Amino acid sequence: MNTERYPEAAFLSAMTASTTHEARNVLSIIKESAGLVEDLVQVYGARGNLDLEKVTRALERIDLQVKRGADLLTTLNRLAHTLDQDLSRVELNQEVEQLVRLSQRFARQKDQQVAAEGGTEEHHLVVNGLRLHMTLHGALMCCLEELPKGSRVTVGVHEENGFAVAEFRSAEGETAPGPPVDGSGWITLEYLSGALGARAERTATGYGIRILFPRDPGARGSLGGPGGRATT
Amino acid sequence: MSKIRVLLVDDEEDYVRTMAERMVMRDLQSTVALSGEEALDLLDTDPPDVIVLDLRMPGMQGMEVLERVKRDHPHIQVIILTGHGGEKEETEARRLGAFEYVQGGQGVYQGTG
Repeated sequence: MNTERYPEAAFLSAMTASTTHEARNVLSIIKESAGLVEDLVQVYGARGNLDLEKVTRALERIDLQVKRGADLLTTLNRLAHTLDQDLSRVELNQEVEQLVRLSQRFARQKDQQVAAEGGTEEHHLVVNGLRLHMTLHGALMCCLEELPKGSRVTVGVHEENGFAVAEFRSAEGETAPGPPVDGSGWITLEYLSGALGARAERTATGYGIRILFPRDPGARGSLGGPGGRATT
Repeated sequence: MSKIRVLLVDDEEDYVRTMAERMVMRDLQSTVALSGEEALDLLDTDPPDVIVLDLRMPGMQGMEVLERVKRDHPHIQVIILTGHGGEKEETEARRLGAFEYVQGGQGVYQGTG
Protein backbone atom coordinates (compact mmCIF):
# COMPACT_ATOMS: atom_id res chain seq x y z
CA MET A 1 0.00 0.00 0.00
CA ASN A 2 1.16 3.52 -0.71
CA THR A 3 1.42 4.76 2.87
CA GLU A 4 2.17 8.32 1.81
CA ARG A 5 -0.92 8.53 -0.34
CA TYR A 6 -3.23 6.66 2.03
CA PRO A 7 -1.78 7.24 5.51
CA GLU A 8 -5.09 6.76 7.34
CA ALA A 9 -5.75 3.45 5.62
CA ALA A 10 -2.17 2.33 6.25
CA PHE A 11 -2.44 3.21 9.93
CA LEU A 12 -5.79 1.49 10.44
CA SER A 13 -4.51 -1.52 8.54
CA ALA A 14 -1.43 -1.80 10.77
CA MET A 15 -3.49 -1.44 13.96
CA THR A 16 -6.09 -3.95 12.79
CA ALA A 17 -3.48 -6.50 11.74
CA SER A 18 -1.67 -6.22 15.06
CA THR A 19 -4.82 -6.34 17.19
CA THR A 20 -6.39 -9.25 15.37
CA HIS A 21 -3.09 -11.11 15.73
CA GLU A 22 -3.31 -10.52 19.49
CA ALA A 23 -6.95 -11.61 19.47
CA ARG A 24 -6.00 -14.85 17.77
CA ASN A 25 -3.38 -15.45 20.42
CA VAL A 26 -6.04 -14.90 23.06
CA LEU A 27 -8.27 -17.49 21.41
CA SER A 28 -5.35 -19.92 21.19
CA ILE A 29 -4.70 -19.62 24.92
CA ILE A 30 -8.40 -20.12 25.68
CA LYS A 31 -8.46 -23.15 23.41
CA GLU A 32 -5.39 -24.72 25.05
CA SER A 33 -6.65 -23.97 28.55
CA ALA A 34 -10.06 -25.46 27.81
CA GLY A 35 -8.27 -28.44 26.26
CA LEU A 36 -6.21 -28.87 29.41
CA VAL A 37 -9.35 -28.92 31.56
CA GLU A 38 -10.82 -31.51 29.22
CA ASP A 39 -7.65 -33.62 29.46
CA LEU A 40 -7.61 -33.39 33.25
CA VAL A 41 -11.25 -34.38 33.55
CA GLN A 42 -10.82 -37.25 31.10
CA VAL A 43 -7.68 -38.65 32.68
CA TYR A 44 -8.25 -38.01 36.38
CA GLY A 45 -11.99 -37.36 36.67
CA ALA A 46 -12.96 -41.00 36.29
CA ARG A 47 -10.37 -42.04 38.88
CA GLY A 48 -11.72 -39.48 41.34
CA ASN A 49 -8.37 -37.73 41.82
CA LEU A 50 -8.94 -34.63 39.69
CA ASP A 51 -6.33 -31.94 40.40
CA LEU A 52 -8.67 -29.09 41.27
CA GLU A 53 -5.83 -26.62 41.60
CA LYS A 54 -4.78 -27.21 37.99
CA VAL A 55 -8.37 -26.96 36.81
CA THR A 56 -8.86 -23.72 38.73
CA ARG A 57 -5.66 -22.24 37.29
CA ALA A 58 -6.76 -23.10 33.76
CA LEU A 59 -10.20 -21.58 34.33
CA GLU A 60 -8.64 -18.42 35.77
CA ARG A 61 -6.43 -18.20 32.69
CA ILE A 62 -9.50 -18.46 30.47
CA ASP A 63 -11.18 -15.72 32.48
CA LEU A 64 -8.15 -13.42 32.13
CA GLN A 65 -7.85 -14.05 28.43
CA VAL A 66 -11.52 -13.35 27.83
CA LYS A 67 -10.99 -9.99 29.54
CA ARG A 68 -7.84 -9.35 27.49
CA GLY A 69 -9.69 -10.19 24.28
CA ALA A 70 -12.66 -8.02 25.18
CA ASP A 71 -10.36 -5.08 26.01
CA LEU A 72 -8.53 -5.45 22.71
CA LEU A 73 -11.70 -5.60 20.64
CA THR A 74 -13.35 -2.74 22.52
CA THR A 75 -10.30 -0.58 21.95
CA LEU A 76 -10.07 -1.48 18.28
CA ASN A 77 -13.78 -0.76 17.93
CA ARG A 78 -13.30 2.67 19.51
CA LEU A 79 -10.47 3.38 17.10
CA ALA A 80 -12.64 2.41 14.14
CA HIS A 81 -15.34 4.81 15.37
CA THR A 82 -12.94 7.74 15.33
CA LEU A 83 -13.88 7.96 11.66
CA ASP A 84 -17.49 8.80 12.57
CA GLN A 85 -16.81 12.48 13.20
CA ASP A 86 -14.30 14.96 11.84
CA LEU A 87 -13.80 16.46 15.29
CA SER A 88 -14.69 15.10 18.68
CA ARG A 89 -13.98 15.98 22.31
CA VAL A 90 -11.62 13.48 23.87
CA GLU A 91 -9.70 13.08 27.11
CA LEU A 92 -5.99 12.67 26.43
CA ASN A 93 -5.23 10.20 29.25
CA GLN A 94 -7.91 7.86 27.95
CA GLU A 95 -6.56 8.12 24.42
CA VAL A 96 -3.04 7.38 25.66
CA GLU A 97 -4.27 4.30 27.51
CA GLN A 98 -6.01 3.18 24.35
CA LEU A 99 -2.81 3.69 22.38
CA VAL A 100 -0.84 1.65 24.91
CA ARG A 101 -3.34 -1.23 24.79
CA LEU A 102 -3.17 -1.36 20.99
CA SER A 103 0.61 -1.00 20.90
CA GLN A 104 1.70 -3.83 23.18
CA ARG A 105 2.48 -6.10 20.27
CA PHE A 106 4.49 -3.42 18.42
CA ALA A 107 6.64 -3.02 21.54
CA ARG A 108 6.96 -6.74 22.17
CA GLN A 109 8.07 -7.32 18.59
CA LYS A 110 11.03 -5.10 19.36
CA ASP A 111 11.62 -6.69 22.75
CA GLN A 112 10.51 -3.49 24.48
CA GLN A 113 7.70 -2.43 26.77
CA VAL A 114 5.26 0.43 26.73
CA ALA A 115 3.09 1.64 29.61
CA ALA A 116 0.77 4.54 30.36
CA GLU A 117 1.49 6.52 33.51
CA GLY A 118 -2.23 6.92 34.13
CA GLY A 119 -2.69 10.54 35.18
CA THR A 120 -5.64 11.54 37.33
CA GLU A 121 -6.15 15.04 35.96
CA GLU A 122 -8.30 15.27 32.85
CA HIS A 123 -7.03 17.00 29.72
CA HIS A 124 -9.73 17.53 27.12
CA LEU A 125 -9.03 18.24 23.47
CA VAL A 126 -11.23 18.82 20.48
CA VAL A 127 -9.52 16.89 17.73
CA ASN A 128 -9.82 14.56 14.83
CA GLY A 129 -9.64 11.30 16.79
CA LEU A 130 -7.98 9.29 14.06
CA ARG A 131 -5.28 11.90 13.48
CA LEU A 132 -4.68 12.06 17.21
CA HIS A 133 -4.06 8.33 17.33
CA MET A 134 -1.87 8.42 14.27
CA THR A 135 0.19 11.12 15.91
CA LEU A 136 0.53 9.34 19.25
CA HIS A 137 1.35 6.07 17.52
CA GLY A 138 3.91 7.81 15.31
CA ALA A 139 5.67 9.17 18.38
CA LEU A 140 5.67 5.80 20.09
CA MET A 141 7.03 4.02 17.02
CA CYS A 142 9.75 6.63 16.77
CA CYS A 143 10.80 5.77 20.35
CA LEU A 144 10.62 2.03 19.73
CA GLU A 145 12.69 2.35 16.56
CA GLU A 146 15.47 4.29 18.20
CA LEU A 147 15.71 2.86 21.69
CA PRO A 148 17.68 -0.30 22.38
CA LYS A 149 16.14 -3.71 23.11
CA GLY A 150 14.84 -4.06 26.63
CA SER A 151 13.77 -0.43 26.86
CA ARG A 152 10.58 0.61 28.58
CA VAL A 153 8.70 3.60 27.20
CA THR A 154 6.22 5.33 29.47
CA VAL A 155 3.62 7.76 28.21
CA GLY A 156 2.42 10.45 30.57
CA VAL A 157 0.08 13.41 30.18
CA HIS A 158 0.36 16.74 31.95
CA GLU A 159 -0.56 20.38 31.53
CA GLU A 160 2.04 22.97 30.67
CA ASN A 161 1.46 26.62 29.77
CA GLY A 162 -2.02 25.99 28.48
CA PHE A 163 -1.02 22.93 26.48
CA ALA A 164 -1.85 19.32 27.16
CA VAL A 165 1.46 17.51 26.79
CA ALA A 166 1.79 13.83 25.95
CA GLU A 167 5.30 12.85 26.89
CA PHE A 168 6.98 9.65 25.70
CA ARG A 169 9.98 8.85 27.85
CA SER A 170 12.45 6.04 28.18
CA ALA A 171 13.67 4.97 31.58
CA GLU A 172 16.66 6.75 32.98
CA GLY A 173 19.94 5.65 31.55
CA GLU A 174 18.51 4.56 28.20
CA THR A 175 19.77 6.78 25.48
CA ALA A 176 19.57 6.95 21.73
CA PRO A 177 20.09 9.60 19.10
CA GLY A 178 17.15 11.98 19.27
CA PRO A 179 14.56 12.04 16.54
CA PRO A 180 15.32 14.35 13.61
CA VAL A 181 14.30 17.98 14.03
CA ASP A 182 13.53 20.66 11.49
CA GLY A 183 15.11 24.11 11.24
CA SER A 184 12.95 25.41 14.11
CA GLY A 185 13.90 22.59 16.44
CA TRP A 186 10.61 20.70 16.15
CA ILE A 187 10.63 16.98 15.62
CA THR A 188 9.64 15.69 12.22
CA LEU A 189 7.22 12.92 13.17
CA GLU A 190 5.33 10.64 10.86
CA TYR A 191 1.69 11.84 10.73
CA LEU A 192 2.54 15.07 12.54
CA SER A 193 3.39 17.17 9.54
CA GLY A 194 1.22 19.16 7.19
CA ALA A 195 -2.25 19.85 8.43
CA LEU A 196 -1.77 18.97 12.10
CA GLY A 197 -1.84 21.72 14.64
CA ALA A 198 0.16 20.09 17.43
CA ARG A 199 3.93 20.07 17.60
CA ALA A 200 6.56 17.72 18.92
CA GLU A 201 9.91 18.32 20.50
CA ARG A 202 12.65 16.39 22.24
CA THR A 203 12.62 16.13 25.99
CA ALA A 204 15.22 18.28 27.72
CA THR A 205 17.10 15.28 29.10
CA GLY A 206 17.37 11.63 28.12
CA TYR A 207 15.51 10.21 25.17
CA GLY A 208 11.93 11.31 24.76
CA ILE A 209 9.31 13.02 22.67
CA ARG A 210 6.84 15.62 23.87
CA ILE A 211 3.74 16.41 21.86
CA LEU A 212 2.01 19.63 22.76
CA PHE A 213 -1.72 19.94 22.09
CA PRO A 214 -3.73 23.16 22.54
CA ARG A 215 -5.83 22.37 25.59
CA ASP A 216 -8.72 24.74 25.14
CA PRO A 217 -11.74 22.58 24.32
CA GLY A 218 -13.05 25.38 22.16
CA ALA A 219 -9.98 25.28 19.95
CA ARG A 220 -11.74 23.55 17.09
CA GLY A 221 -9.44 22.49 14.34
CA SER A 222 -6.49 22.40 16.69
CA LEU A 223 -5.60 18.93 15.43
CA GLY A 224 -6.57 17.75 12.03
CA GLY A 225 -7.99 21.05 10.87
CA PRO A 226 -6.75 23.07 7.94
CA GLY A 227 -3.61 25.09 8.05
CA GLY A 228 0.07 24.50 8.41
CA ARG A 229 2.16 23.36 11.30
CA ALA A 230 1.56 25.33 14.47
CA THR A 231 4.15 27.66 15.79
CA THR A 232 4.82 28.74 19.34
CA MET B 1 12.00 -46.69 25.93
CA SER B 2 12.84 -43.06 26.63
CA LYS B 3 10.21 -40.40 26.23
CA ILE B 4 10.05 -38.30 23.09
CA ARG B 5 11.42 -34.86 23.87
CA VAL B 6 9.48 -31.91 22.49
CA LEU B 7 10.65 -28.31 22.50
CA LEU B 8 7.78 -25.80 22.27
CA VAL B 9 8.74 -22.37 20.94
CA ASP B 10 6.30 -19.47 21.18
CA ASP B 11 6.39 -16.00 22.75
CA GLU B 12 2.86 -16.32 24.20
CA GLU B 13 3.90 -17.75 27.55
CA ASP B 14 0.46 -18.81 28.81
CA TYR B 15 -0.19 -20.58 25.55
CA VAL B 16 3.07 -22.46 25.34
CA ARG B 17 3.17 -23.48 29.01
CA THR B 18 -0.38 -24.82 28.83
CA MET B 19 0.53 -26.76 25.74
CA ALA B 20 3.56 -28.13 27.58
CA GLU B 21 1.31 -29.40 30.38
CA ARG B 22 -0.87 -31.16 27.85
CA MET B 23 2.18 -32.74 26.23
CA VAL B 24 3.30 -34.09 29.59
CA MET B 25 -0.14 -35.66 30.06
CA ARG B 26 0.52 -37.48 26.78
CA ASP B 27 3.71 -38.92 28.19
CA LEU B 28 5.98 -36.61 26.22
CA GLN B 29 8.84 -34.71 27.77
CA SER B 30 8.30 -31.03 26.98
CA THR B 31 10.49 -27.97 27.29
CA VAL B 32 9.50 -24.37 26.59
CA ALA B 33 11.40 -21.57 24.86
CA LEU B 34 9.88 -18.11 24.61
CA SER B 35 11.97 -16.93 21.67
CA GLY B 36 13.87 -18.26 18.71
CA GLU B 37 17.17 -17.30 20.29
CA GLU B 38 16.33 -19.20 23.48
CA ALA B 39 15.34 -22.23 21.43
CA LEU B 40 18.62 -22.28 19.53
CA ASP B 41 20.56 -22.00 22.79
CA LEU B 42 18.75 -25.07 24.12
CA LEU B 43 19.66 -27.16 21.09
CA ASP B 44 23.29 -27.43 22.12
CA THR B 45 22.63 -28.32 25.75
CA ASP B 46 19.38 -30.28 25.59
CA PRO B 47 18.52 -31.22 22.01
CA PRO B 48 14.90 -32.32 21.53
CA ASP B 49 13.54 -34.90 19.11
CA VAL B 50 10.83 -32.57 17.87
CA ILE B 51 10.36 -28.81 17.85
CA VAL B 52 6.92 -27.20 17.67
CA LEU B 53 7.65 -23.74 16.38
CA ASP B 54 5.66 -20.53 16.01
CA LEU B 55 6.46 -18.42 12.96
CA ARG B 56 5.97 -14.90 14.25
CA MET B 57 7.86 -13.94 17.36
CA PRO B 58 9.79 -10.93 18.60
CA GLY B 59 13.44 -11.08 17.62
CA MET B 60 14.35 -14.04 15.48
CA GLN B 61 11.44 -15.20 13.36
CA GLY B 62 10.35 -18.81 13.18
CA MET B 63 11.46 -19.25 9.57
CA GLU B 64 15.02 -18.32 10.48
CA VAL B 65 14.95 -20.67 13.47
CA LEU B 66 13.72 -23.46 11.19
CA GLU B 67 16.49 -22.80 8.69
CA ARG B 68 19.18 -22.89 11.38
CA VAL B 69 17.77 -26.00 13.04
CA LYS B 70 17.68 -27.95 9.79
CA ARG B 71 21.16 -26.75 8.90
CA ASP B 72 22.81 -27.59 12.22
CA HIS B 73 20.56 -30.39 13.54
CA PRO B 74 18.97 -32.03 10.50
CA HIS B 75 17.77 -35.01 12.57
CA ILE B 76 15.42 -32.80 14.64
CA GLN B 77 11.90 -32.72 13.22
CA VAL B 78 10.22 -29.33 13.17
CA ILE B 79 6.47 -28.79 13.20
CA ILE B 80 5.33 -25.27 12.40
CA LEU B 81 2.30 -24.31 14.45
CA THR B 82 0.98 -20.91 13.49
CA GLY B 83 -2.27 -19.04 13.59
CA HIS B 84 -1.11 -16.41 11.17
CA GLY B 85 0.69 -18.04 8.28
CA GLY B 86 -0.54 -18.44 4.73
CA GLU B 87 0.13 -20.61 1.73
CA LYS B 88 3.36 -18.79 0.94
CA GLU B 89 4.70 -19.42 4.45
CA GLU B 90 3.72 -23.07 4.27
CA THR B 91 5.55 -23.54 0.96
CA GLU B 92 8.64 -21.85 2.35
CA ALA B 93 8.54 -23.85 5.59
CA ARG B 94 8.27 -27.13 3.71
CA ARG B 95 11.10 -26.08 1.40
CA LEU B 96 13.26 -25.46 4.45
CA GLY B 97 12.50 -28.92 5.75
CA ALA B 98 9.54 -28.55 8.13
CA PHE B 99 8.06 -31.95 8.93
CA GLU B 100 4.54 -30.55 9.20
CA TYR B 101 2.77 -27.21 8.95
CA VAL B 102 -0.25 -26.83 11.23
CA GLN B 103 -2.61 -23.86 11.30
CA GLY B 104 -3.43 -22.72 14.83
CA GLY B 105 -7.10 -23.67 14.65
CA GLN B 106 -6.13 -27.31 14.18
CA GLY B 107 -4.77 -29.48 16.94
CA VAL B 108 -1.15 -30.47 17.22
CA TYR B 109 -1.98 -33.45 19.41
CA GLN B 110 -3.10 -35.95 16.78
CA GLY B 111 -1.04 -39.05 17.18
CA THR B 112 0.25 -38.06 20.61
CA GLY B 113 -2.19 -40.20 22.51
